[in-house]
Amino acid sequence: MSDLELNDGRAGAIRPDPSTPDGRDMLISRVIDAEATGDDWRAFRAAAETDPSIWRDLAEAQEQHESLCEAFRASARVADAVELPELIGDTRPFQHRLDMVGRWGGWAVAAALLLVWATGFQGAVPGAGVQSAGLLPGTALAEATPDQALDRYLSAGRDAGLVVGEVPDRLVIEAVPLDDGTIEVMYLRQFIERRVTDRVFREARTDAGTTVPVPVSTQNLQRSKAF
Amino acid sequence: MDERATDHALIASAMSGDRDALRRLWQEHRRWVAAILLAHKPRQADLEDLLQTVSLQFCRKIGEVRDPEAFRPWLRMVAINAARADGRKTTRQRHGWLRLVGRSGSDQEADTDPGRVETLERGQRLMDLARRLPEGYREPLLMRCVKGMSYRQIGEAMGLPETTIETRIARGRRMLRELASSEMQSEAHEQAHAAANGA
Repeated sequence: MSDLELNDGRAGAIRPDPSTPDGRDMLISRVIDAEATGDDWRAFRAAAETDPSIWRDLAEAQEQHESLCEAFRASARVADAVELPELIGDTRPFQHRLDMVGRWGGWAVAAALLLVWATGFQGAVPGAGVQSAGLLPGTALAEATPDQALDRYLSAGRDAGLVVGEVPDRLVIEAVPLDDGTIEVMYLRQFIERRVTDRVFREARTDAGTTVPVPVSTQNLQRSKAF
Repeated sequence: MDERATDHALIASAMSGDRDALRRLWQEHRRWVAAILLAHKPRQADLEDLLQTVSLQFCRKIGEVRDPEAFRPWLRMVAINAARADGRKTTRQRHGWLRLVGRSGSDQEADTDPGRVETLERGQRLMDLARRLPEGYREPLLMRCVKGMSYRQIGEAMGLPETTIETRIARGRRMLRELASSEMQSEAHEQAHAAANGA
């Protein structure tokens, strides 16, 4: 940029020479960024008198900048939902707390336990599944067929506001022909459950591969839609 | 206290382990961290995952930053390393405790306005083209899209003078125009070729 001189606009700013490609680009860029000084505009207009294509380049660059920023904002909006891990302590060293999480979540709070349970990690968290157990008396389970037990679970769950329903589609995992001519079908049934909590977490992983919970701001969650 | 001094005071508090300062500092800087990640990550890598990786490093290592001046360059390198490490992975697994399928503002969020969809598609194509620019140009170009991020602040993050940043942004924009124009020409050529073959 030896062909560019300093001007008296922004401290230390360059005075672009529109007769050079770099100077022309810089004038266009300053206009886009609302950084153009009076001198810049005079230089721009003077350049446009001899080379009107600078206006076309400005329009094109401006449009591209707007589109790029729009796409960036759409992609980067997700950043607003990424909060720091809850495990951060009041003082360093943080590594101690990460290690603690690695051994088994000292971070755990009741709401997180519910979510962990609700998404099928019963074995991972002591005490998980307690709410569900309350839906079916032990004697009822012992006497019921699997289908009856399931019906009771759905019915009691709906009454308690903890089960929304079953997803109608069943996902076939495997269909294997058996020796007797029948077919064994393995499939997945899914149920929608509901919990009310004041905190939700998203998973994150440390360098060591340990999973740690990261709180999610409620303002970044959409309001749930009624079923 | 001016803006710079306030900024440094916040960084210093965060470095000393002040939890609130740490949280505020992250919230102030995570958008441009996203810009760095977008400039360096493989196309298929999940931005949110990478941001979480950076946030963990942010918590763990901020105490190792030697002074507030070094904070932005440090955070930039953390982001670049996270993006590059992701690129080295051969397979990606995502184990979800919680899938926030309904979160607002996600990049997967559906948009039904045709005009906006077209703008976003055009922007996404430009974003892909911007990723093909040399590293020193695509970073400032994307960081300039972060609202309120000045040439000076971009320069602080990249460890470069403000004038260099301005020059790179200006040149980067020209390169982007040329790339887009070249893409359009080759698309038109392909279409003409296809039409000729079909006729």
